[in-house]
Amino acid sequence: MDRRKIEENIFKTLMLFSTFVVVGSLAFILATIFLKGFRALNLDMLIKTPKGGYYLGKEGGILNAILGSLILGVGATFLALLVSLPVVFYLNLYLKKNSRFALTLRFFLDVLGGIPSIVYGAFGFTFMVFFGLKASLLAGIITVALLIIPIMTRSMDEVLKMIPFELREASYALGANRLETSIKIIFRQALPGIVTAVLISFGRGLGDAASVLFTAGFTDYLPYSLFKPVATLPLAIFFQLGTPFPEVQSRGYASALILTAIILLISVLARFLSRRFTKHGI
Amino acid sequence: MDIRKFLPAGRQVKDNLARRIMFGLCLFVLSLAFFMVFGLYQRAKPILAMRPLKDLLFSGAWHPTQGQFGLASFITGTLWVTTIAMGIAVPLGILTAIYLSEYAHRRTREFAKPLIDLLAGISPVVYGVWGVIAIVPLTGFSALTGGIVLAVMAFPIIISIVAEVIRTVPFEIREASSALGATKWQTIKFVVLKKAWPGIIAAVILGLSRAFGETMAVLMVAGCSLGVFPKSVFDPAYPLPALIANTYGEMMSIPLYDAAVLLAAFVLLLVTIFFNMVGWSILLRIERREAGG
Amino acid sequence: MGSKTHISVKNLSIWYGRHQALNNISIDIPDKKITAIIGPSGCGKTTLLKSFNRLIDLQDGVSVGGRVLVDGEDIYAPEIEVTRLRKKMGLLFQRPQVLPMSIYDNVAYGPRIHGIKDKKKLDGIVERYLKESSLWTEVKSRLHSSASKLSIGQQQRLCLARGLAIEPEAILGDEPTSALDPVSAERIEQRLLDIKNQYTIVLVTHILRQARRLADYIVFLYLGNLIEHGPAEKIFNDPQDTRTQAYINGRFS
Repeated sequence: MDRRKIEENIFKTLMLFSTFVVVGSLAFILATIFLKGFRALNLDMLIKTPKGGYYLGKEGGILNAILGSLILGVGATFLALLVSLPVVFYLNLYLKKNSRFALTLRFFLDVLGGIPSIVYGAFGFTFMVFFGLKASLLAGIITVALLIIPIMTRSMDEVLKMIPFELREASYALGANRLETSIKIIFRQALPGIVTAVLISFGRGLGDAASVLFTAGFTDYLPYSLFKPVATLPLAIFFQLGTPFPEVQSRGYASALILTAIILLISVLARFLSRRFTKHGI
Repeated sequence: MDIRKFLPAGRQVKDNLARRIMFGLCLFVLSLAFFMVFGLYQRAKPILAMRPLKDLLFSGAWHPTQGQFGLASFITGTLWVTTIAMGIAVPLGILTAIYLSEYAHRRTREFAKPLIDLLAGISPVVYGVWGVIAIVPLTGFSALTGGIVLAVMAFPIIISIVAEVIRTVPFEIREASSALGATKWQTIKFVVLKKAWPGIIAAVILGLSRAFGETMAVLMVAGCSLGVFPKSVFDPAYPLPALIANTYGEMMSIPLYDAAVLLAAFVLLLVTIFFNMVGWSILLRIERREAGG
Repeated sequence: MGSKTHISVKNLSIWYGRHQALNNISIDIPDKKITAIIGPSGCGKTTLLKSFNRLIDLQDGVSVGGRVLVDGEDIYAPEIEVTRLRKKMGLLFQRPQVLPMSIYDNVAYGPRIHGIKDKKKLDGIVERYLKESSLWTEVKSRLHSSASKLSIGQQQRLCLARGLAIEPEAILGDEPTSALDPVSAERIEQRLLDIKNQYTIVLVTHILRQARRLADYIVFLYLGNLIEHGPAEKIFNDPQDTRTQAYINGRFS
């Protein structure tokens, strides 16, 4: 056989192998979490809060962490949306395509998106100390919001970039200004993509532990105040796994299953929404 | 109708107000990185004033109770796990990206993309759980385990950027190469990869940065015990991010301890900002070159 | 010509970055007539048209020299409110660009923006302009269904209705029939002829026969330069410039 054919075949095999490893590792992770987690999962985990000695193997559940994560995630996503949405409309409608400011802003967003979440956590901590805040739901919400602003803004930015320029022209030609065009036309057209971006960011915020470690604290109680610590699911997993008791550790696996299931659900929903709506529109 | 702005109409006032608020929020986002650098630097300053930077970075003595805060063992731990992770993730990630963008059927590609996105969406703690259940039994709580888990976490960013960069290589160039009788692999090797290599470098840098800063998963699987300089891949490693995470409860209890930990965060911030600036500048240049012609 | 001037272009030059799209153009566009801007593609026709409602402002790195006067007012002067200017100049695009909303809302969008809130009034406007663009009978039973479900030809008539609903004084058409089938194109042309004594109409077209059918007045552009302009009859029967002769005889397009 031709030498170059042999080389091509070797590389093709390597590529197939790599792809298999990458996709296989996802399957491996999901299978591990589902198999191990399912065995330890029971209803109590979902509907009870930790009783005394839960982390020693006594009874209870992690409802505190599930609710805490959801509330923190929703709060942070909402706060991030309040920043991201105006920024992304400013980038796309108020600035021209190659404006230096837009380029700089996009570049900074990309760089911010690459800063590790533990650094956001540490920064949130310095921020708390500065304002005399204690580890609390509020501090957690602010920190996670900062963490997901770059992700949310950049993914919405990609959505807005895809909208045909003529649509904007059509609105401007009728005498609409930029704000009216943003709200009544572009937002409407981009809504499915925006929802997807929001859901993805929500999932990212939900799953992150390093940023809430310093800022949200942890508690066995259900969340009830913005100014009190709040339990989060990733940290509950981390703590349960950190105990020396096998039955608590396996509850950690079950908690990981719950978190993964929530995130899977969110990403399937996001995908479904973007499929469903892009067919209509204009 | 008069087309001059005789009286500002309500809708124009709203537009102007919105513009100002939006611009303000943009400035806020722009300044975020500066706030972070400044905030962490402020909190790390006490220890920088007390100890020479050289000792902090290159001494391995970490005994907070005795006022010794050498970060060297943690930096070494970070380098170990990151190197292992990149050793695995870079070749596998690049080959996967080439396969998906050049060889795979469109359907395969569309099937694989959401899976790779999902890989990016899984919680770091869940990666940690997976590592503990599936990898630790094979390789122990070690730098190698940390590296393996980090490699999987770095796959999505490397694959998506490399695939994106390969996509920007113009079709005509491939056609020209094929027309000269090159095989598909020759075209990829001599034309596509040659054109895409700056972007591939960027992908590696950004993947590296991701692995560098990843915290929770590593904390759970790498063994993270104090005073260990990993000498082989099977030794435990205690990377910098894990140190920061592990001290959250106690760092306010000893003088300068918090400053030392926030110095670690500050170092991590500067390094990741640097990596990201380099990586994204390369990608930005590619994007502009593409747009320019 | 005996008609008063509506839009007056004086020494207009337009650059996109370093590329000069229009070079020192001066013409008067007569009121309540159809003016056709013709010329080979890339000659600046669309740029000239979009300079009349300042839609070129949206382009990157655009700079404008000279003046465009609408009713004697310099529209590039700083005191001009561009949304009011655009309300005076309805625009029809090459491809119908419906807004992502219902048929009704597409027509009501402009009037609503310009302050009409009364439901009855809006109903009246929608009906009137859908009739005027001869779409009413086809859509009256499904006014609240999505505009994107209409055929391309219907969409373009909807765009005409939408443009008319802001009650402009001029209608600018950027090859408004080029994306349509012959039947739909003919319908649009017919509507334009029907309404031409109410509006100043400026059409960019690359179809010479269309210009012959519709235009009272012709502007011929070539590579950003104004070569010749005048009453349609004169341009078509007795062109002065050799390039105009070549173009209208179909020697290049």
